[in-house]
Amino acid sequence: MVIATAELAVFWLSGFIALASVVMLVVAVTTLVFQLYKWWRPENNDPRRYGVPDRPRLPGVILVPMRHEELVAGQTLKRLANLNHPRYCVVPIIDHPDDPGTAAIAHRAAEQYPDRVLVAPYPEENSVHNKPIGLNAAIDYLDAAGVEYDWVGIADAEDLFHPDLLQMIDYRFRVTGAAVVQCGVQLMNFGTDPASARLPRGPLKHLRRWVSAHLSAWWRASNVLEYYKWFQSRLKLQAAIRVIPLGGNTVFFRRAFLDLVKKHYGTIWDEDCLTEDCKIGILASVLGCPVDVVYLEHLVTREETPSNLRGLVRQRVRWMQGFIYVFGEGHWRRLRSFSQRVIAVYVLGFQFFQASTAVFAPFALFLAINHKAPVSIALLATIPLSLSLLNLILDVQMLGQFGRTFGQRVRFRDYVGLIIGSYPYQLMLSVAGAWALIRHLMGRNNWVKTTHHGVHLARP
Amino acid sequence: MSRALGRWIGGWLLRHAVSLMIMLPVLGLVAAVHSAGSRSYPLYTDDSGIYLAQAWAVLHSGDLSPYTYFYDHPPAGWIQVALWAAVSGGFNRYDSALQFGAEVALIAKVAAAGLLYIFGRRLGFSRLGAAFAVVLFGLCPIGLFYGRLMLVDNVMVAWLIAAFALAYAPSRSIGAAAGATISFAMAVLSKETALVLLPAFAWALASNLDRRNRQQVLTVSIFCGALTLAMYPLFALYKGELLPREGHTSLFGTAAWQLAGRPSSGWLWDEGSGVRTLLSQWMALDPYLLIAGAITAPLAIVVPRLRPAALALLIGWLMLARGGYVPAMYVLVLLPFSALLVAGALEALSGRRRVTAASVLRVRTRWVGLVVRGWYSLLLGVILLAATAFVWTGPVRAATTERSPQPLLQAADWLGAHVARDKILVVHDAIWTDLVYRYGFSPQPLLVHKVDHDPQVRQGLTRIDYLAVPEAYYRNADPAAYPTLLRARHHSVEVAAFGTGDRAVHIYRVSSFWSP
Repeated sequence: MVIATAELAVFWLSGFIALASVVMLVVAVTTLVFQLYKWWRPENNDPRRYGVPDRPRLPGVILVPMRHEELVAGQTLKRLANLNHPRYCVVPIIDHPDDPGTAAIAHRAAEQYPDRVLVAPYPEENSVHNKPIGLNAAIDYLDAAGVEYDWVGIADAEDLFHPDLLQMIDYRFRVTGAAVVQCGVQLMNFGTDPASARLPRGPLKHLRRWVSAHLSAWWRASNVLEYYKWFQSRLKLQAAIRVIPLGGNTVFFRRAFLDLVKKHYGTIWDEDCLTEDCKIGILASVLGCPVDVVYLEHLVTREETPSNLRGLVRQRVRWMQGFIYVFGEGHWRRLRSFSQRVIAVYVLGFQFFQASTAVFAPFALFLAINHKAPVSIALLATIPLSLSLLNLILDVQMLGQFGRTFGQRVRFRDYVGLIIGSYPYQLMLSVAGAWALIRHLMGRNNWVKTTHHGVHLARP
Repeated sequence: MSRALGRWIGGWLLRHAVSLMIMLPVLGLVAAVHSAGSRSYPLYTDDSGIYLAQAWAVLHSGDLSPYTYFYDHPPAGWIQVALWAAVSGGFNRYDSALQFGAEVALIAKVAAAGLLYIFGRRLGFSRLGAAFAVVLFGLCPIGLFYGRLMLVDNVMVAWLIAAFALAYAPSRSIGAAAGATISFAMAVLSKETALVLLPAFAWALASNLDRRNRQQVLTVSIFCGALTLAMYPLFALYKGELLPREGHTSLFGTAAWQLAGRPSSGWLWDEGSGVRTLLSQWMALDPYLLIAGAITAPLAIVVPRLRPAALALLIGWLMLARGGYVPAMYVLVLLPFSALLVAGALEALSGRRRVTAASVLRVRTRWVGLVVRGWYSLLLGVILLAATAFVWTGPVRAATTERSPQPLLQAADWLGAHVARDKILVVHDAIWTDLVYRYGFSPQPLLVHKVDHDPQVRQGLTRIDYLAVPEAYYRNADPAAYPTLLRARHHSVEVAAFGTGDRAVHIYRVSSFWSP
């Protein structure tokens, strides 16, 4: 009897391991394919694939939601006011009574560049502060003010657009007929270089910064590479399939598209959604509006990694929770083709499973070997784990490529940090996924904002 | 989704309509010639029997062999056969498992032929040139002999050509490259001899890289190939049979014996060496394709596009000359590359630009003129085709004529009709699966080789009731090879006989008073 029970247990365990391994295998392979899209075929990585921009001609606006951004606001507005494009204006969105410091900086910029900068007020009667409310209010404000524009860009307070970015956007809008152009965003401070971390106050500040840079290198390298892969491969593939959650900044919308969204859904950016950027991307897919993704190394918007691990986790929880919200809303069910809906479920609903496959793969193999599962099942359980190894090898290779592309020295210890950090990083993502799910189920969706310190601004 | 798929298939058919119109009849011809008369020619060998027995074991007991699996060959070859049998009910569809084996060999042959066409096209051959290579490969009498047997080498050749064809994929995508390395790994796992062609395959893969995605293509494809290949040692590792241990079979133990301990087949230039005997056997079947390939291989070095394939053939020939152990079916690797290079040389001589680009020949085509060369090559092609038809008509006709059933099968039928199921039989490998599965002999009959060479079998041996092996086993030059078999026959009477000569099968009933 005992033996029979034990055998039954082994049988069910084997079945479970086999099933789990197959699921993990599917997720691991699709993750790989998603992130390798840019290199899948040579022409996906052709340096001339975006064409050469001609003279820009579409008028536009750049919205810059700002809140307590005294550290970076001045520099950002100055840069944004001096881009190579004949007709555009920069619209910082500021809550005047709440944030007089930033407001003062913005109005000084508006005086300095009277035909370029126009300050839009955040609705004062609203006690909630979030990005979509500000964006919607700014669009209303612009329409009321009679500003003429064909496209709307979104920048975050610390985003330094490349001077030639708008030319490319303008060109891509006209050449591709896209409703949305998403440009690359790239985190830059990846490694153990002390300059990649904020200089703290107090005694021994340089030593402390050196230590903190080395202690955080394990997750920052992975974080940087995530962006590298997302904007170059994943989004491009999703744009090709036409199911795409957009990024929060360096994203540009045609006015006609925004009007269409407003007509269909009453409002442009969903004010209750933590990731309004993801949602508007899905709406674009549902409405059948094509999205163009442009990642050119010299045009990407450079950003910083969150200042500490906690910040990263909070950011991830917010994103994943937003994705779950968009998934739960179910607009994706009106996507046109079956394959689009499958991808939508995969992208929105199973986002957080990806990290957990890497986390659970070793356990599956361990179980298979230790509980005398058939050899074939142990072999099957080996494959997802091996693919994690392939992922790591590719990451190491890409970190080198990243360094070469952006002219940054990648040191041996950066690679070591990446390798050591890869598993804990996936663990962190899994935890964030679980946390996001719990928060969603408990109905808590208050704003968890990433703070900006302007580390990347000091860099040459 | 289905509409998109339909559109894609429609587009594909349209793009390859001409190729399909050429290839479907050619493949039909290859399949027809391959299968006609395959029941009587060639005579069944022990190898095809043992692979079928192993495939049957995979299917019915989940083990890799009816006996202890001792890592003599990687198992992927017969696991694939078992999968096909499981999907198609293969062991139940025919009177004899051997006919199912012939079906597997036919599938492998047609697949290899189709892939060879793709390989040729991707090397820049014209459609007719690639089809000519397929004809050479598909109708060669050596291929008819060894290709009809259920040898894992046939499965390996199909994977091997798939690997080369994918390595030359015009899309140069990660997927194609990974497919190529996985196919190559599958070839090696089907039959380990494919591994010697690794340099040629690597060259082929490297010659089709694109600067824009080279890094990722190499990383992913090498990893995928290595991972597929690693399944074999991992299997041994998980079973605790990777390293030699007392009283256990092990991968490394067997590999060491295979690499060092096996008797060499001698040097190619030694009169009377094993390799020379093999070579004369092959030449007796058909000298033309092998010799033509061997002649064109050094010439093909002039054409850069053909070099990896030429290297593959050269390695193949070097393995013969090296003076190690060479099995007879080794020739199967040489055939597709010989056929390909003969057709390729023809294409290069005709000045086809896609083949000769950037080669020495390219310079000459300019002033000789494409048209003249084209006509000459057409003439040459016609002459060659006529010559092929002339020299191969005889052997192909002989190979496709149906004759009386093979002695081994007759013996199996006789045993099934006249012998009680609980008798202990010592049988030739070819009929083992039929006796176990179709006739239900239990305890399972003993393979003749195991009786004298497997300590486990020898231990449990208390009696032998019947012997059913070809006469050649008793006439073996070395009396120490099968001592038990010889002694058993000494104490037996003949009860039935089929066929004549060495291949004849006599059934002996062994005296019940004798015990081994």
